[in-house]
Amino acid sequence: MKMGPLRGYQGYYAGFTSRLLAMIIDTVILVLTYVGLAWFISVALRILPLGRIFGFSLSALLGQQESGQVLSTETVIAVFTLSTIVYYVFLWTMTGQTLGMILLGLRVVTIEGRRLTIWRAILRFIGYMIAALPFFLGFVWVLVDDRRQGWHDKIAGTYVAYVWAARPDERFLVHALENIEGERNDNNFN
Amino acid sequence: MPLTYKYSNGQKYGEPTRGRFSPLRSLTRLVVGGAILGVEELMGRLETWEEEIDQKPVDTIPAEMVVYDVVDESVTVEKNEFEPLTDSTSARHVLVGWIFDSQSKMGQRLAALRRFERRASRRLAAPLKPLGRSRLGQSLNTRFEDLVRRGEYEIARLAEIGKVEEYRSRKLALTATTETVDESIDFLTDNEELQELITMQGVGIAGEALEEMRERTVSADDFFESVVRALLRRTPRKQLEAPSREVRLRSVRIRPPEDEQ
Repeated sequence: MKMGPLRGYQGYYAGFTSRLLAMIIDTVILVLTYVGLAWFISVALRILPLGRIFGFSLSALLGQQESGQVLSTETVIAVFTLSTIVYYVFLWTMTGQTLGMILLGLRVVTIEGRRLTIWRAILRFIGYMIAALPFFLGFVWVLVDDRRQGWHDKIAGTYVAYVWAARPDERFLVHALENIEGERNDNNFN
Repeated sequence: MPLTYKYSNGQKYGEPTRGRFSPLRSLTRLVVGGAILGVEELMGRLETWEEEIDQKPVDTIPAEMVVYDVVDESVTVEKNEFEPLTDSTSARHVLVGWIFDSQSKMGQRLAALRRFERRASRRLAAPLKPLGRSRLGQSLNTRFEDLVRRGEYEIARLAEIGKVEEYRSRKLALTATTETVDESIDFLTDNEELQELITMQGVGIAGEALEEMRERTVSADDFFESVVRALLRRTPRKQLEAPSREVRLRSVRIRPPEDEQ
């Protein structure tokens, strides 16, 4: 596939805000999906007489008694953690983009610009946890790193690139800088 | 059960017209039915709108304006109470006022005319009684009665035709309206070009919003980074560091995983 010349910040290291926003979008998508699924499964397990149909109870199979909570908290946590890993690892490996990243026009690639292997994707996810442990310092590291890499990127040898013809909104920047300048002047005056 | 009416020549009226379609008659029915339904709908709407206006707070009318009923003649206008007419707005007010005033006066005059007619017939009845009893009077009376009877029959006949035709016209207009609306909706929903246009419009708006959001986040990336660098007293970044052109090109393309190479 031939491609035209690179435009704007295309292929450059993506910054903290874009990545944070993409992560928030992913989190929202995952949480909404989990809540919906949990509700559906709970209702289905309560309503469907699976025990009578198949000769065994799915609730019992999942380690629960017939009465009370349908799914145990441990089961829920295990399922959700596993599906989160699958979500990230699968999408990073397949396209290098999660849904939030697609919206923000970002892609995670190796430092050579290639797509991630499954092992590298798993390593990056482990890096996520390590980066989150000291109060998310590993993520904030993106703000000070020259290559805009977080700890997880350093661990997995990856970086996040803008895949669209990224360009800053000049008016937005000017407006933000004017606000800061105004506040500084006010402080000096006072 | 269909309504039927027999003409004096025995022809039935209002029977189903299958097999003898008359375009002119159908068109007339459509026009008449449409007019009846339209007028009914308009009247209903007018009544509703008037009620809505009445229910609104009075502050829609400026307090200094004199609210009066056009039918009430007791309203008197003091001399020099109003400003002289100077501009086109005043002229328009005069025209609108004249229309409503004429309407109310016309109604009053018709009522007066009816009162006069009743009074006159009462007064003339006694003096004209002998004339009516005379031979000439009786002959004239018989012919007049015949004329009235024929007129009444004609009126009754027309009323019957009107009744049947109104029924059919209404049905025709209603069917025509419903089917036209349904077909229009079907056409709009089946029209691929239109659907594409709507989708493109939506996609265009969404695309613009998305691009704006992306631009702002790219700006925010630079902005927050410069703020943090300033806080940490690091030298501000003059230019964003970039991977090599080859890496950048590779990263924006979809490439097979490295181990497949």
